[in-house]
Order: sequence, then C-alpha cells, then structure tokens
Amino acid sequence: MYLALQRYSRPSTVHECLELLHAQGGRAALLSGGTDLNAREHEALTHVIDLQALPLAEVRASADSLRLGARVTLARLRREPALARPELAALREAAGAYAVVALQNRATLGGRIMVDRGTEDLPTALVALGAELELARRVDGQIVTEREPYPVGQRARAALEGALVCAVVLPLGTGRSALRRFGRTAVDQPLASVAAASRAGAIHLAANVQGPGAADLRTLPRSEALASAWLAGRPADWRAQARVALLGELAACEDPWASGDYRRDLSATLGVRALAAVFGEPEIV
Amino acid sequence: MKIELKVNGKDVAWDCAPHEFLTEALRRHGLLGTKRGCESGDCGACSVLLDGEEVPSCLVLAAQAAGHEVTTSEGLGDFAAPHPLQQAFVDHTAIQCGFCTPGMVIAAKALLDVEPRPSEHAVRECLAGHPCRCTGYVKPIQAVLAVAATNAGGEAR
Amino acid sequence: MNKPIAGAPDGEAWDTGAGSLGEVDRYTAVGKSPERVDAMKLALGKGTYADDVALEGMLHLKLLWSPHAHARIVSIDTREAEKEPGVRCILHHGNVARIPYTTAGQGHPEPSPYDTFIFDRKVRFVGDRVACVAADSPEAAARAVAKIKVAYEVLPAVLDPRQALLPGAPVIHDEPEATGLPGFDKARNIAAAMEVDHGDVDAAFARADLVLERAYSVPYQAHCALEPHSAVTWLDEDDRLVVRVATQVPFHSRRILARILEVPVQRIRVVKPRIGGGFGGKQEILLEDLPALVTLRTRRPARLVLTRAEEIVSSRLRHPQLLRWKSGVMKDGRLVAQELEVLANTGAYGAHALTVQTCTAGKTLPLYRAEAYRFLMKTVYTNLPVAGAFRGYGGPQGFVALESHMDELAGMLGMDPVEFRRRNVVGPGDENALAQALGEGKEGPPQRFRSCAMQECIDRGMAAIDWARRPTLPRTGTVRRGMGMSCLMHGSGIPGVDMGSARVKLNEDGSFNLHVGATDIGTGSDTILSQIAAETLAVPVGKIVIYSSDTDHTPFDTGAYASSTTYITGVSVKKACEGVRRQLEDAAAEMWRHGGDPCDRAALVVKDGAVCRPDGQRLSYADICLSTFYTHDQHQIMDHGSHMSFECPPPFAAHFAEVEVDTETGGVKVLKYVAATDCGVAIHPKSCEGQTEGGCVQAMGYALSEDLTFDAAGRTLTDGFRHYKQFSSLDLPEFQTILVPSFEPSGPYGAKSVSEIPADGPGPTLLNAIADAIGIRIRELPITPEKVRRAWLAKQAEEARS
Repeated sequence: MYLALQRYSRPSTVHECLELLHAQGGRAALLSGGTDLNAREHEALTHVIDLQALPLAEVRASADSLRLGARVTLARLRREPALARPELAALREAAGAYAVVALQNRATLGGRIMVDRGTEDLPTALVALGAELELARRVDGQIVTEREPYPVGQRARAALEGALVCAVVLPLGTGRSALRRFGRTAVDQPLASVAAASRAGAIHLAANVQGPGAADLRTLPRSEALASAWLAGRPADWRAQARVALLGELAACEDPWASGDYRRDLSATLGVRALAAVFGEPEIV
Repeated sequence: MKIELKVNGKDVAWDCAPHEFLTEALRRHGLLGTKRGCESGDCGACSVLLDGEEVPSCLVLAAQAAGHEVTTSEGLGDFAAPHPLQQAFVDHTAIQCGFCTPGMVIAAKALLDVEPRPSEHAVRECLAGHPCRCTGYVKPIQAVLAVAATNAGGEAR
Repeated sequence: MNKPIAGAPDGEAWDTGAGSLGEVDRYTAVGKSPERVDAMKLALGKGTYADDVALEGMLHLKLLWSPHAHARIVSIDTREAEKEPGVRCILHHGNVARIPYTTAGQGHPEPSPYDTFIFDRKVRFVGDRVACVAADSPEAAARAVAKIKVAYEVLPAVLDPRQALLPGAPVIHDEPEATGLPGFDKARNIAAAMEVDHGDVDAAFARADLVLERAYSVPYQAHCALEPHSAVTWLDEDDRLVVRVATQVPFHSRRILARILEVPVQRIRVVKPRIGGGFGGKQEILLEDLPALVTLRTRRPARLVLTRAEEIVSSRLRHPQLLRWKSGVMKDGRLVAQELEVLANTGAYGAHALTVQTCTAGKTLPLYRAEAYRFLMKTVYTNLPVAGAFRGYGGPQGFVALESHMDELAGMLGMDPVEFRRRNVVGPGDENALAQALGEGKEGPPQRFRSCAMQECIDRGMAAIDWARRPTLPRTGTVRRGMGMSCLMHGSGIPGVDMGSARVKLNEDGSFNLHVGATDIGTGSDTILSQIAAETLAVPVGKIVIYSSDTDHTPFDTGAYASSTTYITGVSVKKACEGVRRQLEDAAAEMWRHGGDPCDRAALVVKDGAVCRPDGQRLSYADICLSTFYTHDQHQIMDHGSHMSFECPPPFAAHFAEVEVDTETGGVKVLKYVAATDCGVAIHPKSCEGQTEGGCVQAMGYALSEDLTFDAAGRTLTDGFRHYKQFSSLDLPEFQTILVPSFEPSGPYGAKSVSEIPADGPGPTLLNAIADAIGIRIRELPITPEKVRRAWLAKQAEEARS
C-alpha cells in the first residue's frame, strides 16, 4: 500500500525521540513493532520515528514489582521466565492470543497499548493485573517521565496522546490471573476479552469490548467487590450471581461482527470463566 | 536513502525510499519468493526471517531492516540443495498453488530453529499466520512434522 | 479397441475400453503420487507468477472505485490527476469504447448476460470501476487517482434481492444495450430465471404421506486465493499484444479481449504463468482489459495487481441464495417429490448468473430418486458486490438445503438419517433425471450414472468417524457434542461444452514435450496430465516435459473450471499419446524392416521407454527418434488429441463430522471431519487428498466463520483478512480423507473429477452435527456463535414456558 513517508528516523534516546515527535507535529508517528503500519489511516504520514534503538526492551523484576520495557515483544512475553508465575497467566495468555507468530515477533507491549481501540487482549490483562505505565512526555521543552495508572474508560486514548510509553510496571505478590477471550476463529481479534486477577486479598476484573464509538476498556468494580468476597468461600450459585453482576456493568457494544447484547452476554460468560480459573474451579460445568 | 543490511548471508547496501517496505525492496532485488498477498500482515506470504525471527516483510520498512540480517526462501536452498523443509513440502504434496509455500517454509524454519521437535500444536500455531486456500493445512503440517521427526533432539537445523 | 470419436455428433460415449478396477494394479504412472512437476520451483520461491516480471518502462495501474452503491456519473475531471508527475494514461467511460460483454470466462456464446462495459456512465456497487490511472510508479498512480474529480448523481440503491424484485425497485441495468438469455428481465432486475418440471410434480406431492417445506439462507463467500488478480501486458517485437495474466481461462480471455479491445485474436497472445489459486475467482476476464488498453495506447508495458481489499470488494464472490426446499415422502421412507426454489443475488453484474444456479439444482435434485422434480429459480441484480464462479458452482449452496432437509425428513419419519439416505440415493445405472433440463444455458445431453460407489463411501465414512458412538456423545451440560453427515455428488466437466486438447512430440533422448491448453492453477493438472501421458507412453513421469496454457504455443482448452481438466483434457492427452505410441510402433517396425529383420507390427508393445517385440528385441524411443530425425524415414513423431464428452460422470462423497458446541458462547468447534470420496481412479492420490482437504477446509469457513458484511450504504466492512475470517491451521479438525475407488469407463484410466465436490459437504454436515449436538436446527450460514447462542437462549426460553 502507498505511504506518503518522506522521512525515517531512528533516535537512540527518549529525549531525541520526543523532540522529533514535537518538531513534526501531527504528521509524525512513533513506530514500534509496526504491526499496524500499513493500516489505511497511516497513508498520510510523512515521518516515522522508529523506536528500535531506544533502550526500552529491558525486563526487570524486583521483590514486589515487574518492570517490562515498552519494546518487549509479545513473543518475548510468552517465553519470558519472569512471567512464568500463576499471577501473570493473564498476560501470557493475552500475548499468545494476539494474531499470529510473525506479528507477535514484531508487536511490542508499548505499541499494542498505543493502538488499542477496544480490540486488544493485552490491555484487558494489564488492567486486571494492576499495571501502571511509565510515560515520557515533552512538557515545556523538558522531558518528563511519570508513572500513571493504566488509563481506562472513554478517555483512555486521550490520556496517552503525545506520550511515549516507556515501560509497564506490574505489582508482584501472590495470586492468580486468567484472561478469557473469544474470537470467531483461532486467529481473530476478540469479540470480547475479560481478565480476572486475585491480588492482595481482592479480585480485579477488566473487560475490553469493541464497538463504534464505544471502544471500551473498563474495570468492573461491583463485580470485583462481589467476587472478592468469594475468595474465602463461594456460594453454590456463585456463577449465576457473578453473571448477573457482570451483565449489570458490562457495556453492550455493537459492531458489524457482534450485536451489543450478544457481546455483553459473551463477556459475562468469559468473566465467569476467568473468575473460575482464578478460584481454581472448573470453568465449564 | 541508502540502507545497509545482510540479505541471505551477503552484505548489501540498497537505495530505498523511506516508504518502501521490505517486501518491495526484496522483490525489486529479484528475491521473488517473498510474495504480496495482503500487505497488512495477515497472510504470511511475505514472511522472511529478520535476525532469525519470522516477520511479515510487508509491515517492516526497508529502513527498519538496516543493520539487521534478512533471510528469504532463496536463502534457504536452491535446486541443487533444497532445504529439508522445502524438500519435505515437495515430498508430502504439501504444495498446490505454491503461493503460500515460501512463507510457510520460513515460518517452519523459524520454529524448528528454536524448537527442533515441536508438538503438532506448535506446528499448527506456527502455520496459523499462513492462510492457505488450497491445502487445508493437512499436508503442510505433515511436512513440517516429518522434518521435525528427523531432527535429533535439541539440534537445530 | 478404443473408439477415439470424442464429441462425435451422435453423442456416442468415448470409453477407455472395458476397463475395471482390476487393471489399475497394472498402471505404472497412474494411481501413484509422484513429486508434482512444479513443486520444487514453488518450494524454492522461484518467480513464476504473473506479477513476477518487471519490464523496462512498465506502467503501474491503480483504479478509482465507486464510493456509491448506485449512481450516475455526471462528470469526470482528470485535469489535476494528469498533472501528477509520471501519469501516462487515464481511462474512463469518456475515452473507452462502450461494448457490452460479460466478464464470465465461459465458452462461446457465454450463457451470462452482456451487462458489463469496460467503463460505464453508471456505477452499480461500492467498488465498481470508475476510472484507471497508469503511471510510472504505483505511488504516482495512487496519487493521481486521489485527484480525479467525479460528480455523481446518487441513485436509490437496493441491497436485498427480495426488494430488488418489487415493483418500483431501482432498475440497476437500465442501459439499452444489456441483453441476456430467456428469463433475463432487466426492468425487474432479473439476470436469469428458470422453471423446470420433471414428471407430474403436483400429483406426486398429492400422493405423498408427508410433505416438508423449509427455507434456507446462504451468504456471500470470498475466494481468498492468496495470489491477487494480476496482469502484466506488453507489445512484443512483432507489435503483438502479450497478456500475462493470473487466469483460469486463457483462451476465453483472448476471445473476450479481442472483442472488447477491438483487436483481432491473432494479434493477442495470452500467457498463463503459475497461478496462485483461483477457485473460480479467476474464471473471469476481470482486469486484463485495463493494462491491455494502456499498453495499446501508450505502447508501454503495463501492470495491474489488485490489493486484498480490492480482491474482496471488487472481484467476484460466491452467490448468496435464499432457498426453499420441499419434499414429499412416503411413510416407508421413499421420496416421491422434490421441489427447490432459489432466489440468488448476483450483485451488480450477472457473471455466471444462470449457470451457477442451474448447478445448484443440477448437483442436488438428482441425487435422490423421486417420481417428480421441480426447480424454480431467479437470479437478481442488487447494488452489492458481484458474484461469479466459486468452487462448487452452486453446489455448496444447494447441498446446505438438500442435506439439511434430508436430516429433517429422516427425523420426521423416525428413521436413521443414514438409512434414509441409503434408501433413496441413486446408484449405478440410474438416470440423472434433470440432466437434459439443466444444460449449460441450453438443453443438456442425457446422463446415466455408471460408476457410483456412494454406498461404500457411506460405509467407510461411518467406520472412520465411528458413527456408532453417535448416541453416546455428551448432550447435557454447557458443552455438547454431535455428529452429522451428508451425501454429495458433483460433475466432471460440462457435457457437450468443455473441450480440451493436447499435443505430444518425441525428443531424441526419449523424452516428450506435452503441450496442453489446460490451466494448472494449483490443482496439479500439469502433473496429472503428465502421469496420463507417461502411462500411455510407458515412460516415467520425468520423461514428460509439460507446457500449459499459452494461446500461441499450446492448443485450445476451455479452462480450469467445472471439474473438467482431468476428465476432459486427460482424455485428450491420452488420445494424443496413443497416436504417438502407434507412430513409435510404426517407426520401430520400419526400422526393423529396413534393417532386414522384419517383425509382426501387430505384436509390438511399448514398455519402459522402448518398443518391444515378442522375441525380446527392443528399440528405445531415443534410438527411434534419432533414426527418424536423421537417418531413415525422416519425420517428427508427434500427435495431437482433442476431447469433449457428452457424459458428465459425477464423483460421489459422504462427509461426516463430529462437533462440539459451547452453548454459553455459541462457539462451534469441529473435532473430526471425514470425507469419503468416489472420484473414480485417483490419478494422483495425494493430490486428490489435497483437493479434498483444501476444499473441505475452505467450506468449513463458509459454514462457520466467513462473514462478509456490508453497511446500510452497501460498503463492504470485511475487506481484509483481519475481519474476513477463513479457517487457519489451528482451526483445522482432525481430518481423514478416504478415496473410495471406482472405475469410470468414460474417464482417462477410470478417473472422474475431485476438485469441487469437497466444497459441497461441510455446510450441511456441520449444520446436521450441530442439530444433533444441541437439538437446534439452524438453516442459515454462516453459523456464527451469535446465531447459535441466540437460538440456544430462545430454545431455553421456550422450554421454560412449556
């Protein structure tokens, strides 16, 4: 496909990168894995700033947190020993569910976060896992790096505008997590994607559901509260209760591939299954 | 712009436009085993190895490949000495129209390089990015598994 | 022994002799699976496809497509576009001759309406041609396309075939030039129509104990050949137009191009290089007219390759149909009456509008014996993308209805679905009741089934899937399992129409050049035809050097469609090789006579690349060739053969599937699929398996996941592989292919066709398996998870009420 690109840059520092981005205004774009580079909306780009030389591909684990550089690929997430813990299962599952091997080799954590339009599994998992983002911005000519909670809801995309995702920081402890997603074939964007995680005595839930104007990465606080109470013990009908709670706060986003009510119903099913996985219960009865 | 990279073991310096994708640059230099099937990363016909990993060359700017090593199907074998995977695809009648074949061979090579004795599921996963309307995948999977079966444990080809 | 009178006007069948399965064991080349003749170059990635040439000065073409579903073009302003550097030529309706034609790559005269123009003053779907730019680079062409200014008068559009038939609906083809066969009624948006009664249908229904009538719906499907439509054209050193095009029909392409470009046939050479899959999508003169026009106007080479989005939106698709099937059956399980009504949507143009739909009936209705049959059909225009030929050619649509219906009938009768089918399905010696009524746009030749191993297909398929397990599958809980099956038949070529030819000549190393018009599009026909030649000439396959499909250098062939190449062209190869074999024997006899050692000509046989005498003496083909080239009785040993058949022996198949349905998500997982096929003698068994596997997996996508969607304005929303989901290697179930042998006396070495019948099965087989698993009969493809889930919830609600 035709690209109007006239300039390719490969900066080696975050500072240089953001300066370039600033200088080019809206006509430049950051290029990480490039898995969406050939999308039609990019035909008008005149300048890409390739992030491959930035020192952002580091994985660093401490006692209570895991810092994943934004340039870590999804392929690496799947096989990274630091992720081989039950509490990070959702993240591994999300990485493995993305497209196909060749694209997992290219796609990066930061890139998938930036291009999410409610169609990705990775943000679902990250939000449930309590991820924070390290974002670099150019403010008054200075480069400022801040750590912020993963943005959710309708304004999520705006919150990342103009920023460079440098790293994702995940809290570590004990617990379990699971991502359940559903596509029409084994290689498909999810019709719905729900993640559940147990952490610090509570359950965390996130859902990503797509739809025109309703791209929607959200947390599910009422269901979380209900499910957290079940960590110690669950009523016999917990699945039915959870389903009702989930249906109550999931969005009904419609697109050409699924109606809103089916998608909400599906998300509730996936939510119950993700919870079951976290509780160590059978997912399908 | 001039980009320097290694293609099929040879150092090259190519003149490329900033918007030129690696697929185009390779084809322009006569490496026609790299096909254009969708130009959105969804068909695998343009797969090449970039530093040993399978990538869709339609989503890699030629400029991005500067300083890296690219291997195409031409780099794996030729009539005199086809790669075992190329031979296996031939032997198993795993080739019908053949348009997807070089991409599948590249994908399988990348897999076997890191996992010489993969499970059938791993083989299916490695070919999942290579939609093939002709074969129904049965024989390509058999071909890759046949090569894997000849791999002594742990030895990469 | 043989009667080489193919296509004789009296319609007498050409038979390969009193063949039987017993002789198959003696074959040396047929029935084996040698390395395919083109496989290694493809494995190595050699540049052999249409777009693998780059010519000096080549222009690149890009099209401007209609953004409207229905509009009149008021004006086209190309002035700004022409200023774009590198632009050499812009084509549109104002500067291209307006000659009505059909893009359907069919025989002459094509049984499709002449409703298409290279460019027209009107656009009829989102994605219709408006203009074309040729420039020095693809980028320049794309920039120029964006600068063409078009003023449209937007017209009301109609997207639903039922509404297209209503009085007052927008008339899509209001141009005076459009013409079609009887039934064509452009004022009512009818591209083709047909009504056929065989027997006294009303009386038969009146007599039936039970009558069942059901409606079914099947959608568009995109071919998704991995190689896009591609064409490169140039003028050769003799100023002739060379067209290198990804096509299934090079000779039709030449004929149709000559007419619409107003260039004599003799000035055009169409070359078919390797083709990256066709499946019917390339049985179409879809794009080569444009680079050809550019080359004629600019005298420069020109290239047009469609993008994937253009492939999906602006090439061709499978016809969607609304079907109504009605059957009358006696309580003992005997079918007495079958009635099929089809309303098909051909989109904006009527390529294959009649014949796809006649095949919907022709492949399905005659599969089961009945006293009377009725077929009612309309194919209508809408302002949606264009349907055309697609593997199965109406069969996959029709079998969804027929084989769902057979399951329901069996259920009503309390019979096992397999036993019910066994009881009614045709067998050897039965007549094809509708063969004459459903010819290729005209009356067809009568047909009687000869080879038919349907019962054995059922036996072996049942054993392979272990049908006895069916009652024991889990049918409670969230995830349930079920099994389904279907019986199928297809055809082998178009009787009385398809013709193939071959030419063979001997070389002095004992090898042979085999030139065929047949078009290998990935089917393996180059290999299969080489095997037939090798068998007939008693040489290894490696001694055959095949060259196919070049209108200058190979003889004629109708093309790669209608499951015809092995069955039709295969016989032409056999005839040509038999001629060469006779000449070899003649030449050997003459060499022995000349050398003073005469032999009994009648006792000569060919074996292992030599002519042999009963006394053990032999003359190798190489020696014979050297002698006839240089020494004695000098001539080129060569011959040719042509073949047309009035017969169309169907391959038969029984398909079986086991599925798992997740009632909470609505997801359907195919666990196991068994396809047992009687394709006569399998010339290259591995290729027959490959055709079966590929055809079935393609049709599993049609059944389950391929969902072409449009917005209210007629725009295609699924215009890429990211949203248009075909089956991947991870979706492939455990798959078992069984080739059930039979011997078809009218085919080459007992062969029938195999390439299309696999596509007929998965739709109904999976529908039946799902019904078995969850007790819900879905009558619409694709079986999306949402449809399954909705049906499940509706059933739960209904059960709760009662």
